[in-house]
Amino acid sequence: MADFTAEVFQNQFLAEGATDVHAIARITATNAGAATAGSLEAAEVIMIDTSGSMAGASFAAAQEAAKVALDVINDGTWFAIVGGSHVANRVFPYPNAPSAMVRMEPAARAEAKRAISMMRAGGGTAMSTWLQLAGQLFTTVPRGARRHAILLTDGKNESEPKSQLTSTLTHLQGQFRCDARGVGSRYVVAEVREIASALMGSDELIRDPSQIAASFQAMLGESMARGVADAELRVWTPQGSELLYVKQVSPKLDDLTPRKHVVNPLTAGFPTGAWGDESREYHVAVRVGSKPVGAEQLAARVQIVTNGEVQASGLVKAMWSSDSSLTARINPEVAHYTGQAELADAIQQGLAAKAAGDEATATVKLGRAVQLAKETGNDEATSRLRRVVEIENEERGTVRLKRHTDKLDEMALDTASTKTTRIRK
Amino acid sequence: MVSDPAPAQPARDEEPVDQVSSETPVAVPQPEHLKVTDPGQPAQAPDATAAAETDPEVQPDVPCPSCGALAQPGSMFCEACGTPLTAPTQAAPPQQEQRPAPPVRPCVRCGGRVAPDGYCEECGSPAMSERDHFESSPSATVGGVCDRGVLHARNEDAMAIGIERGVTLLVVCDGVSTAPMSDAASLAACTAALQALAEGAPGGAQEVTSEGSARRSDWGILHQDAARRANEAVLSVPVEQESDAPSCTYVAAVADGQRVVVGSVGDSRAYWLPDGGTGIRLTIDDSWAQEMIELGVPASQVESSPNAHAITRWLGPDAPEVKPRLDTLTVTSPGWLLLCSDGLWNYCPGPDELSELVRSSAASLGEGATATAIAGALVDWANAQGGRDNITAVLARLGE
Ligand SMILES: [Zn+2]
Ligand SMILES: [Zn+2]
Repeated sequence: MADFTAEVFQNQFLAEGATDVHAIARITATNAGAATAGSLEAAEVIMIDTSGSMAGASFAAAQEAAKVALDVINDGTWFAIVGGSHVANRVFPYPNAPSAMVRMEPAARAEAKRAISMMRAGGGTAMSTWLQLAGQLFTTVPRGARRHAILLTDGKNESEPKSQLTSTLTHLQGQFRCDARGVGSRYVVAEVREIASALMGSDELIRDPSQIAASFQAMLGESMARGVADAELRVWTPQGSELLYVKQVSPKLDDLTPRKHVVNPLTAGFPTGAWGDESREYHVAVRVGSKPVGAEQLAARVQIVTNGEVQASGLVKAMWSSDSSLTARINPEVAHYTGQAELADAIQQGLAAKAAGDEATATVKLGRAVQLAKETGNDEATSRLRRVVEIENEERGTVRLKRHTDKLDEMALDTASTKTTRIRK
Repeated sequence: MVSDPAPAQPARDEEPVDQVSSETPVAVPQPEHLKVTDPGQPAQAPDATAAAETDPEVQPDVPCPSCGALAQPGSMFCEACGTPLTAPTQAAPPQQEQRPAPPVRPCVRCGGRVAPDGYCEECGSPAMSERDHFESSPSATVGGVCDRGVLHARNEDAMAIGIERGVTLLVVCDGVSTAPMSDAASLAACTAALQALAEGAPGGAQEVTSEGSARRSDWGILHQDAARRANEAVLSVPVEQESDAPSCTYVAAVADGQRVVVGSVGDSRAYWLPDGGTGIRLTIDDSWAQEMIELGVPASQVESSPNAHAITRWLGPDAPEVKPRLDTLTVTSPGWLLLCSDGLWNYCPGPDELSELVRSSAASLGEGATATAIAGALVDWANAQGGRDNITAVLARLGE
């Protein structure tokens, strides 16, 4: 049985008249690892882009990777393979098979590999159809099973309006986790990010088709090690207060606020998907009514819930004080992740400006990003930024845009912009 | 907090006070005894572990009847769960192996459920112990609320209210917050004074039987006895060292038919707030500020002084005298008798302002609001003003 703990980092002291309470809540799961996961009902769906653009080396590599992935999936796990173009096709179990998903066993694995070999590339790209099919497949497996999908694409979602993907993602939220991967330089980072963010998964760039298999293996290995099928983050706030936002800030930035659902009038719930042995951190911001100096109030309870039961609870407090040496302090964790969020924004806005030909804005934003990466100790971001800009002064954030940059470097910078580092002790 | 010795001041109710010109600022004399009742210390962060700490030097003797925690001698409330320890020798019956969990008090701010984490599930207010906030409602027209307020870590105010065979008895004491056992002292003083005054009611050991003005002075004698016994109760609160000796203010009222007799020591007050007419402050503060104002020092100079909250008389070991000031009133029309600590009147000192506050509080609660409900509204109002001190409000409806 997994154990959860909750820790809260904040400065609870508010100046007279202040109303906004910020805290970082760290939720840690232990005993949720591979051993626990072994006895869990689980389901895996692999979605491979079969649009015309894939034809060639990418497609062959994707087929090979899917076969390698089948070897990683534990026997007994429910699984299915989906081929996606402007429509979605169930590749395995075969479209005429009686059950939508089957349990993995040696014969099923061999037959699925044969089915993958017979896949052909052609047609457009409408990813909402792939995801809808995956959602349907998952409804056929036992309740409480861990549901995980992989989506691989190489291109733009061009065969449907953008709103179609967004509304499908909204509909599917909380139903399964989806890790999304883009291969090569022709897909759209923001689309892959949107899928991964909405479905609580990771998003990454795969530079070369030869790396697809390793990426699939890693994703499935991690999935197989998640012993908690599903958990919900809940945030209670007092009567008369306003929950300003809830953002995951570690291991990657993800604004959960739009995914809020009402548990009861004072409690909001946010799906977090499956958990292995890991820590995740959340930035919770609450606006409460101001109270007289000396007053204390609980501003939030941050809880992790599995199967309807609270596993751990952290308390976010507010105490009004006239002592400015207390109220002026900014909690280091809150400051760190606020900086990391600003870093992500600066990178994304800088790259968007660069793509739009606005070099002045791009230079300012990416310069600010260099400065923030330095300040928050995000060395990985700094080295990714170096591939796109020449750094003149790291502290002051002065940079020049590089003349010839590899598109893949820009995409890698963009994709990884949401990855955060932990605070340095 | 006692100031350095200085020449004694004449007692005001014995000799007339000389008029002092207010043209020039007066050199402010330091009375012999001063106690600062509100040193304005911010509340300590409540610490769940601190409450459970016991001094190994002090032999714990009384197990709490509710949770079994050992209380220190003289404790009026269990430090662990807040259960009143009114009968100090009463122990939990040994046969009750499986006691139900002590009932969790609803939130005193909103009435919501208090979660096991110690905070209200509705408004997020921290849980308060029975000593931090308690109410008393002998009848729908007589009741009071005693509350810790916002800024202080402990509630050193106390009250005791009773109706004894038709005689209404009200007592409010405000502990001096520099002494660690002030909360126990003020509660002990209230309880002792109420018992003493109850003896004057019909059938009591010192039943007041006289009529007319003699009846009033007999109640006055009983008031002196009550203040003396309250003082003894304060003195009997055990302390580890003499410098920790607690003390408190005292105001008590007896409403016997149309007659109201009030005794007071310190700066807790009694007011008569008739429905239609002008409010009257019945008590005179035994305070440095009162003395300065009587000497003609401008109010602005008095209020800005660090001594503004100092009292000149109190109950306790170093009390200058325990004889209460006596004030009387004959009730001729319906109204409210209000006893309160400075936690309320500091925000609203004038009798007319208080009249209006009681009226609007009663009106907002609607027809038939109980005395306790209106007292609760007064306490809420003082908390909303900042709650810088403990707050006690006791109301009795008279003259109906
Ligand atoms: Zn107890
Ligand atoms: Zn409440």
